[in-house]
Amino acid sequence: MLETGPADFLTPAAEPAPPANHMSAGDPAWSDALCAARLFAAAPAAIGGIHVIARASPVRNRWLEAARALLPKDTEVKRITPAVSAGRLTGGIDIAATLAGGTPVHETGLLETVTGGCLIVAMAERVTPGTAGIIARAHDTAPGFGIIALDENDGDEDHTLPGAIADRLGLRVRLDGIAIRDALSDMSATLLPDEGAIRSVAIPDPLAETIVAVAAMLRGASMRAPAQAMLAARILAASAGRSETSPEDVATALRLTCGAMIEAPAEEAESGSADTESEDDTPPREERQHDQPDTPDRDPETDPAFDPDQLKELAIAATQGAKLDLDLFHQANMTRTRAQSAAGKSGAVRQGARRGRPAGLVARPPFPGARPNVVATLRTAAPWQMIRRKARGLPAWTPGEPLSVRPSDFRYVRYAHNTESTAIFAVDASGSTALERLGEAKGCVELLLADCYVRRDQVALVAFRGDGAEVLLEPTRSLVRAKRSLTALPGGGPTPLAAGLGQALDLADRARRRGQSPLIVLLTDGKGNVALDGTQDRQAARADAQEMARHAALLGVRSVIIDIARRPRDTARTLADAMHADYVTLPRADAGAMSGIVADYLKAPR
Amino acid sequence: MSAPFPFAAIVGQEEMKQALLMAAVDPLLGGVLVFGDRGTGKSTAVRALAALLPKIELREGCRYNCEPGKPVDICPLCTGGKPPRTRMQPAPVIDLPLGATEDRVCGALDLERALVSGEKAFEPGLLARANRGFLYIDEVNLLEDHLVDLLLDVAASGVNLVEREGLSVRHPARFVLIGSGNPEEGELRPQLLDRFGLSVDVASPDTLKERVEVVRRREAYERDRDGFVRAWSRKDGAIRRKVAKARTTLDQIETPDAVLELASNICLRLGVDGLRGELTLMRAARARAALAGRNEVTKADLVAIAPMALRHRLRRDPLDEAGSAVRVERAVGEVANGVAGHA
Repeated sequence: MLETGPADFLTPAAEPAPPANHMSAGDPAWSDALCAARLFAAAPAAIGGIHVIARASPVRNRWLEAARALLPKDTEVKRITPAVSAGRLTGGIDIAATLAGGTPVHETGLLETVTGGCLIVAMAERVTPGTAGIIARAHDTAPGFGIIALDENDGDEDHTLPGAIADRLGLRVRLDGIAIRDALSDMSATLLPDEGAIRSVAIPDPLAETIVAVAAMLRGASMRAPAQAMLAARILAASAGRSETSPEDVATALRLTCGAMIEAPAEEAESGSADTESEDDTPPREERQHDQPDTPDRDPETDPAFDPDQLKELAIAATQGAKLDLDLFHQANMTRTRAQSAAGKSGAVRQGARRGRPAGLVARPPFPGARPNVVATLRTAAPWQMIRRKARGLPAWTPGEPLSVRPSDFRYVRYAHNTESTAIFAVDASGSTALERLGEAKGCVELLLADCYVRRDQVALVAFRGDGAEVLLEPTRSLVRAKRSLTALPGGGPTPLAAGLGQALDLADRARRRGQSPLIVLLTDGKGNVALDGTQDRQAARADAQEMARHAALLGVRSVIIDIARRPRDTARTLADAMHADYVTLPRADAGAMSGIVADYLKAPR
Repeated sequence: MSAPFPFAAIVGQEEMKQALLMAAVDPLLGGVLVFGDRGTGKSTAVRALAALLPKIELREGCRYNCEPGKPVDICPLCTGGKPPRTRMQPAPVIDLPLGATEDRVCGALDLERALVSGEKAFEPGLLARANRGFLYIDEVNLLEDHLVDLLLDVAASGVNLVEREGLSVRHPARFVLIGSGNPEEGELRPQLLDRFGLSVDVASPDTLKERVEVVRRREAYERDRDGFVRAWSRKDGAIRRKVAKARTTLDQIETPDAVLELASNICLRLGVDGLRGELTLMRAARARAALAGRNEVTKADLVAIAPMALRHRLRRDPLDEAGSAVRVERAVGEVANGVAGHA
């Protein structure tokens, strides 16, 4: 025993877990996160940045520390919050300092100071598209900077990281769900590959094609994604000392940039890990995890709707040098883009709002009786002091003297405030007439949206059938988006009325939290036959529906029930009564009449 | 600033490239609107265009881009005692940042001079700098409404009027407006839509080969910017010469009556309001003919540019599944083949 022990230990076959593994034995998600940090540190501006999806937590702090430790010591690191003003980002003249000093003092914009460094955006999900546009533009201007966007979004569609930034971030990291005891890091021994080494790494054509195809599937039309993935693969290869990327590099790169869970072909993986075992322990650690396709950080929501088998085949085919046909994936790609595209919100602000978020300064009072903003007014008046005093023959202004402020200096804060209504369609998609009804509801949605410039309203669509309700269209103002999401509508099956109502209420509640006034439009004959728990029981279904209706009445959501039964009976009417909803019969639901009714409701003041 | 990505090296995107070149040939066309998903090369193409524009004659240091022959009366440089010599300089392509304030765009009190020497002077804004060149607005659909109104006004009149804070200034601001955006993030107000001469939709290439090529070229460019630009300079040069030549021949291009009639018929059939549609159709067709080196507009020119000149002018029919480009093509096909004649 004593003799054989050490000998066994030396042969790789008897020691399945390489020594490198003990460090990251805990959580593959954590070592992925560290790997992303290393990739970022190797080329911050070129790879764009890291989209970190995590709540504020000790794990996130540890990760941030590790990421910062990897960057060169003299790197400029700046942290901003969404409240940062555009002026602060881009810079300008510092009025106070200029007045005091008598010489122009320029205030350097934050984005300028961070050039070549790293910008940390805290609470990135609350950044407005306007601010995102400014950051994105500065990011594009060479030499640029790396962005670490800390996205605390938790399934809340109202606040998502604006696409202008998200698309420029090459790497994706999820930290939620990692236990603090697993979040250990020792970055002291990390050696980052230099730029020349990264650039000289070659990517064989089949692997390049895999990258492009997978990126197209998972991240849609953007051509930034494949470029970022290729760079990531290069860095991985360079840090392992290879001059050509291996399938493992590509798999890891795709996982970190596009969230793809791919296993490299079996025999390739073996030879790959055999190679890397002799290397320094940093890079191979990560390459081990793709042997476990079900890494726990997989999240059904962000994990794209693709077929893992298809992907695997793709990767295998690619490594064997087969030609790929992208048309096959084009359809998948399109649906992916649809699902992924974040709802952009623009322009839907009321002019002359009295409350809301400050949205700039104006010279005219935005509403009668508005009070001028003192600081902004003084700022406007300041540059004129010398000119005005000169005109009156007075000597230069000295501290302590009064300022001359004229009416033209008054500045008012303009507020932006969302005031639109949201029409939530809940459509009974069960039974034989479902398709027709859904079609008309869809037509109605599109008619309302086509009209939306006049009223700035949003529209959402919930369909219920079979054993549950599904949000087919999140609240949107974009006709393009509605058309894309509503291309295929499912129909048929029993009627889970209560579930549909519940889903609609959920949306209504969210709309209300956003400061919009929701309107629920329920298209049904009132005859539910599936209870909330999914059982087909007419009695329980009716009780559940009534319960939901009373709940809606309590919440006080404005609602209208459109009875679409051929021969309207009492069922829908009793539901409307319980819900305190208006009741309209429309035996032949057609888009035009329906949009007329709904538009009247939306226009009506509450 | 390092050299932008070469225009000739952009893979595919023929419609967008054609539209941008046409706008470069005829500044009166009314600009281009580019709509498409993120990362499809919209900004890259516009920035690349800057390198292809024919140079313009300028006095060094002039902040209003005055034509040396007729300087703006408020330009201290060109109307001063001894104006500097003129030089041929690249036409300006000005980026209008999203967060730009009204001051920044139209110009305002020169803070520096006001604070330091107590002088009341006007500091020209981005509109002055874009004079005789291009004004590019990325994410035009996210621009603040009041800025959009202001831009519309200036773009239509060619004059920037500033009446504020005790300043009263007017200066020419003739520029080609180029806007880009992602339609899923909100659409553009119809009034602004109509002001653009041409409108193109872009998507990234959909064959794997092309996509790989896009990434490879981008990587080559990132690796060695100057080298890459040099490698493509001959092709870029050819395009630049084509644009310059087309500009000089544009005035001499003949438009046969048959083509004019066809243009009217297409507009009638599509129910495009106003004459702007027809005018743009004709201008665009002439620009295309000029680019092709011909001296007469053909029906083929008209058919080729009809979608980009008209698609954003159609009245929206939300229940029509086909995109507006398809509707234009359908109408053009019908009219051109004489199936329908007058509508």
